[in-house]
Amino acid sequence: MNKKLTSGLKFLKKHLFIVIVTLQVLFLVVMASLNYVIEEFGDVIHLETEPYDPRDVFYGDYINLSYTINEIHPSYWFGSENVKPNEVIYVLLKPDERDIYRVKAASDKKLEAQGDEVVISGRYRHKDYEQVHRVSYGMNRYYIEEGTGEEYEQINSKMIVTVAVSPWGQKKILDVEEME
Amino acid sequence: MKRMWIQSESEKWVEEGIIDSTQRDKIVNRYSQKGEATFIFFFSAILIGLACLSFVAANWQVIPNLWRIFLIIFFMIGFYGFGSYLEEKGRSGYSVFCYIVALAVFGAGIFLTGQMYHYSMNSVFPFIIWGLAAFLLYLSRPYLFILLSGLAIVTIGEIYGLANMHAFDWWLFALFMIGYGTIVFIKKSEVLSWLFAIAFIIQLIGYSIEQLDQYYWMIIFSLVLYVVGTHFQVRQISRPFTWAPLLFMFGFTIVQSFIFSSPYRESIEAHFMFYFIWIVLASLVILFTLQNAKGISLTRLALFLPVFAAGHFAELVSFIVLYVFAIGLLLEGYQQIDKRKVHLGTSAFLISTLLVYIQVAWDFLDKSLFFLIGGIILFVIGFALERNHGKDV
Repeated sequence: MNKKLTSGLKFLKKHLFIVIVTLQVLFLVVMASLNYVIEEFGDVIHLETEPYDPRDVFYGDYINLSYTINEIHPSYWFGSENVKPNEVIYVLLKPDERDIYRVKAASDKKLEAQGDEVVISGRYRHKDYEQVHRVSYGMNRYYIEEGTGEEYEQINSKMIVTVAVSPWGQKKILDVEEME
Repeated sequence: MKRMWIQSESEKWVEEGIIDSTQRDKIVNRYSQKGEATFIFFFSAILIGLACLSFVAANWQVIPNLWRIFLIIFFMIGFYGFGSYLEEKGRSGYSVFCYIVALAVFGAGIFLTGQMYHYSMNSVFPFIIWGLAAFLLYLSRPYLFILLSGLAIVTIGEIYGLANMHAFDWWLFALFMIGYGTIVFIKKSEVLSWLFAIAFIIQLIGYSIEQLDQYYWMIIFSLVLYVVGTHFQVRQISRPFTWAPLLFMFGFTIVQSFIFSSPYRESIEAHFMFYFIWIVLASLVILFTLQNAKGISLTRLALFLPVFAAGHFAELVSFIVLYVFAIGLLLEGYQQIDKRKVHLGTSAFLISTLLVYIQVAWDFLDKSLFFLIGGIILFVIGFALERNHGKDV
C-alpha cells in the first residue's frame, strides 16, 4: 500500500513538472499569437500625441508618447466625482474629419460604442488644477530598434500613433509616424 | 568544511574508544558535501540568466519575431529538460541551476514578447504569471532556491507596480501570502521564514507610503507579523517573525526620532481605526506572550508604540522606547542566559545612547557625565550576568 502511494506520488510529481512546463510554453505561444489576432480582429484607431520637448521624447530604446486623450476635460466626464487613482475607467473615442480619434465621453462605468466609435480602458491618474482628468493607457512607451533613435530625435512636431484595440480590450501600438 | 573536520576529529574518537568505526561512518555520512555547491550554483544561475537576458536583448533586432518566440521557448524547454535529466542522475545542485535559468528565460520571454508586439502594460500581470510559475515549479521540484527566486519575483513585482503604476496589486499579494505563505508554514525553514518576513515588510512599507499616504500604518503591519511570531511556537517561524519586525521597528523608531527633532515636522493625527487595530493586536501579543510564560519579553512591545501621538514629547518618548527595548532585551538575555540576546541588547543600548548623544545631550548635558551613566548601567548588567554565569558553572 505504502509503496503504491509513494510510486503514485512520484508519478504525480513527475507529471506536474511536465504540466507546468507545458503551461509556460502555452502562455508564451498564446501571448505571441494574440498579436496576430488583435491585428486581424481588433479596431484600428489613430491617436494624436501632444507636442513635446524633443529632448524628452527619446529614452534609450523607447520613445515616450503623451497622447491628447491622456487629458479628459470636465465636460466629457460622465463618471462619479470621486474616482480613486488607478481605478479602471472607460473612454469613448470618436474619429474627427482627419480620422484621428478624440475623446467623446469618459466614465468609471462601462460605455457603449456606436458606429465607428471605440471604447478603450485606461487607469485614472488624478485631477489637475484646471479640473482636467488625467488618464493613463499603458501605451506611453514605444520600443524601437536600437540605433534608430536619431530618426525620432529629429522629429519636432506632433505624431500619429496607430493602435489596434482587441475586442477584449487589449491594446497594441502598430505604428508611430510624424504628423503631416 | 564541516565534513572534513568531522572526518579527522572522529578518527580520534574511534581511537579513544568513544565510538566504534560503524558509528563513525554513520556520523560522517550525515555531513554530505553537496550543501555548499548548491549555493554557488544558484549565483552562477542568476549570472547566466542575466547574461541570457542581455544577450538576447542586444541581438534582438536582427532576428524575426517568430524566430524570437521560438528561441525563447527552445531555451526554456532546453533548460527545464536538462535540469530534469541531471536530477535523475542525482546531480540536484546542477539541476536547480538549470531550473532557475529556465524560470529566468520564461520571465524574460513574457517581457520581451510584450515589448516585441508593443502590448500595452498597465498592470503587474507579467509578475503574477511569473511568480505563479515559480510557485508551481517549486511544488513539483521543491528546492529552496526556486522558492526564494519566486519570493524575489513577487516582491520586485509589487515594488515595480508601486513605483511605476502607483498601484498595489492585491492578486500578486494574495499569491505571496496564500501561496508562498503556506509553504513557509509547511516547510518551517528558518531562512525561508526570514526572507518571507523581510519581503512582507518591504511590500507593506511600499503600500503604507504609496497607497495609504501615512507611514504610521507600517507599525500595524509589523505588529501583525509580530503577533504571528508570538503565537507560533515553532522556533524556525517564531524567531524570524518576531525579530524581523523588531529590527525594522528599532530602525524605524530611530528614523522617527530624527523626524520628530525637526522643527518643521507636521503633527500627525492618526485615524481612529489605527488605534483600534493597534489595541486589538497589542492585546493579542500580551495574551500570547503571557500564555508562553515569557512575561519579560513584553518590554519589546514598547517598540510598536505609536510614538508620534505624543506630540511635543514624541522625540523624548522615542528615546525612552529604544531604551526600554534595549534594557528589556538585556534583562531577558540575563534571565534566560542567552548570550545572543545580551549581545543584541548591548548593541541596541549603545546605538540608543549614541543617538541620544547626537540629538540631545550634545547641547544640554555634560558629555562625560552622560557616557558615565551609560557605562555604569551596562557595567551593572554585565556584572550581574557574569555572577549568574559563575553560579551555574
